Amino acid sequence: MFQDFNLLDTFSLRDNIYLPLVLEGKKYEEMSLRAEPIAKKLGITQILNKYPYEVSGGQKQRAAVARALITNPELVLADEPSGALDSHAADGLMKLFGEINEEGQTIVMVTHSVKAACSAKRVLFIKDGEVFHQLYRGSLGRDEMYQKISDTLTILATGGERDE
Amino acid sequence: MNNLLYARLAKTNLSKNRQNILPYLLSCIGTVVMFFIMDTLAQGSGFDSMIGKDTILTVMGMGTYIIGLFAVIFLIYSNSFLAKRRKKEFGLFQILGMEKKHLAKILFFESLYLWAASLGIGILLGVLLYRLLFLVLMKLTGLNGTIGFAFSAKAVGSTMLLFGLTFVINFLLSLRQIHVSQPVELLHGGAQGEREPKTKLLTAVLGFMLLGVGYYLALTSQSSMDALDKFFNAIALVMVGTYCLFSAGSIAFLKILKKNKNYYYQTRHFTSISGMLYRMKQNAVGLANICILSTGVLLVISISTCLWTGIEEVTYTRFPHQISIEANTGVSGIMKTVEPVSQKMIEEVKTGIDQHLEEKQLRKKYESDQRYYVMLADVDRNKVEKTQSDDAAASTLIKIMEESEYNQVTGEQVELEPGQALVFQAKQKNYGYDTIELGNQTYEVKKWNTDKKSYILDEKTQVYETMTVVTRNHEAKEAYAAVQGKEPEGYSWEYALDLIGDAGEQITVGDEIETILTESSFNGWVEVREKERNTVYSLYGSLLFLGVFVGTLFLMGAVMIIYYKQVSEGFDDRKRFQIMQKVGMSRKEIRQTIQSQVVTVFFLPLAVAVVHTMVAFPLTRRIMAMLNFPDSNLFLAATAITIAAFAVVYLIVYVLTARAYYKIVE
Repeated sequence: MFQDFNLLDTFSLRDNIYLPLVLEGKKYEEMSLRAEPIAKKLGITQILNKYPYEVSGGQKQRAAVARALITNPELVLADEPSGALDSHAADGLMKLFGEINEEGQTIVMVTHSVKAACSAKRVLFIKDGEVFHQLYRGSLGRDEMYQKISDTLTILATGGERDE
Repeated sequence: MNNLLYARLAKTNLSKNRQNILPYLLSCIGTVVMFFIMDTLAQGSGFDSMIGKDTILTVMGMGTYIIGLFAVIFLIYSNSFLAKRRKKEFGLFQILGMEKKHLAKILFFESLYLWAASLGIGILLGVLLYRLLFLVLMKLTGLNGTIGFAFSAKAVGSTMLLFGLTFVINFLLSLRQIHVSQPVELLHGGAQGEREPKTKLLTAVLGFMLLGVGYYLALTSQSSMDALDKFFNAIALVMVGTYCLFSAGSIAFLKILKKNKNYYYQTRHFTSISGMLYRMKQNAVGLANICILSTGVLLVISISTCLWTGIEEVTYTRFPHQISIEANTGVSGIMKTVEPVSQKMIEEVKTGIDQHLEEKQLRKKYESDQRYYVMLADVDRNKVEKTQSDDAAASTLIKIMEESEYNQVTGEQVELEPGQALVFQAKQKNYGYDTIELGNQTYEVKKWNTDKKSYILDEKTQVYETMTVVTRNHEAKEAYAAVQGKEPEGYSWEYALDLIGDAGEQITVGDEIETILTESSFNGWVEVREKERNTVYSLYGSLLFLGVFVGTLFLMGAVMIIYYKQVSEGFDDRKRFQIMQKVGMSRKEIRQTIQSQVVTVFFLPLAVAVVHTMVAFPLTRRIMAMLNFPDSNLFLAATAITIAAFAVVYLIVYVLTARAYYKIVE
């Protein structure tokens, strides 16, 4: 999943979602069978026949999620997924990730947004190619998680020096 | 900002945009060269006093119009293509602070530079190439001309004017585009989402119908005159039909494929069908243009090469004998001041000819003559009536011949009862009725088989339908009068002579015969094949020249359009293929997809063009017959070879442009 969605404008959303399965050579019946529940969960059943330029960013990204999920992957990789979305859509997307995660799907997301990061169960901080810190959510609430991440970033930025 | 700045900006623009502008500039230069050369030829410098000069100049003049018209249309079309690609650039300028009027000034300078460059280089090239092409023309027409210094100021003037006008039009069009749109729009100009094309069912059906009617016309042409008339109508219909079909028909077809889910959702077809659908809408017009230009090339080149190779044949068809005399064989309306030909005059002329040949000690190889009454009439099944309409093409040329004359010419011995007649028609093997009604007189038709029909009937070359009616000697005048309302004023007479002698001797005899005719106040004319040969050569030679010239021009146009299409598609597709790679398509799969798309779209116009040409064949064959070229087989061969050669050229163009496309996409 990408920041700029990377949906093909020559295909309807439905066909975009089918694309990976078509490339695997699956039959049509199987594809539509698989797609239906996913589309329902993501709330995009109504707009499946539309084209990418006809829908909003949030809807496009959800279609991209469907595309990623339809192959029953072991892992979903998301590259700055909320980057091109407004805050409302971004929240919706993170909520969606949460739901999918509860159902057992593992998602690895790269992001610069603290808001997006705090909906994750585990956050790795990477600086100059190295993982230098890790946070587990545990039973922390949203706000607390946000604070923790924020603090880590501050340390990252200032180098640990603190004026007492 | 002062004007110097604009001029400089214009120059930088042009050089930065080289990749896009260069093809456009090249096509400008190309059309300038062609127009200039054609116009210089049409001015006639260097032709001096040649026999056949007028024919050549007329043909070249025609060519100038064709090329001029094509050049203007083509350049406007190319420029619109170019303008689309530059939308982004113009949008950027505006966002950076330039106002529309500043942009207009820059555009003005750009147009000026392009105009100057294409004219300068074009005319220079034109002058250089002129000598070469002049020589070619002379070779083709078999004439001699002195190559004067090839610089017709008039041609330069008209070239500058024509192309100046074209550039002004293009400038105004670009201006309008800038004026009408918002900068942000322009910036996103390239990324505008295109709708999936609606199935314009109505247009598709219309296209089929138009094409069908056009084809029908082409396949059912009857006489040659009819053919020419139908030809232009058929062309117009087929052209519009092709446009409709490419734009709507192909979309309809692809959508049907898409509906078949099992077919559509296969790896191979999935991306290519949707890709083609997307492409079709953008490209329909371009593809239709390529198709039409290709058909143009095929037709023009096959006709002109065929005419050329068949020149000798044409000459012999038009002039079956070395020397021929014709008197009053035209239609009565045309030659009012002709003195009627009497039997006495005929005898005088023949004696004079015999005497002359004796003197020169030349022997005859073949001699024949025949006299008859001739008229133009309307024939409806077996009724012959005086012609009412002005439409000569629908009438029939009728010879009324006396029985004894028939016997004399064919060597047969027919004896007719009173009220009986023989009837022969050029287009039918046998006259199908038992009677023939000339006006209010009815004659019984005697069945008579002969293999000498061609002696008394011109079967091959006539533009009209022709018919010969043989009656008893003293019934001939009556028969004529029954249709025309009055008796004929005199005979029409045809005479043909072949000598045993060379071209020079033939020409001398011909001249002498002409003197004899003038002396005996005989109003007819002499045609000497050897002398007329020049006319034929100059006509068909210059037609070939024009044909190849125009054909090359069309070819150049088609190649240009193909190249532009491929390049712009390359840029559009690049992003798409990058996305597909990210989604999981292997490079090999992508290549396969591109290939099937490109191949189909590329060769579709060619296929349709070939079909058009084949359907047009019956029609073009008749036109060839009208141009005194009766050999269908040769024409068939010429058409086939032209198609093959064109296909090869097309293939080469495909390979080259495909390579450019792949380079951009990958």
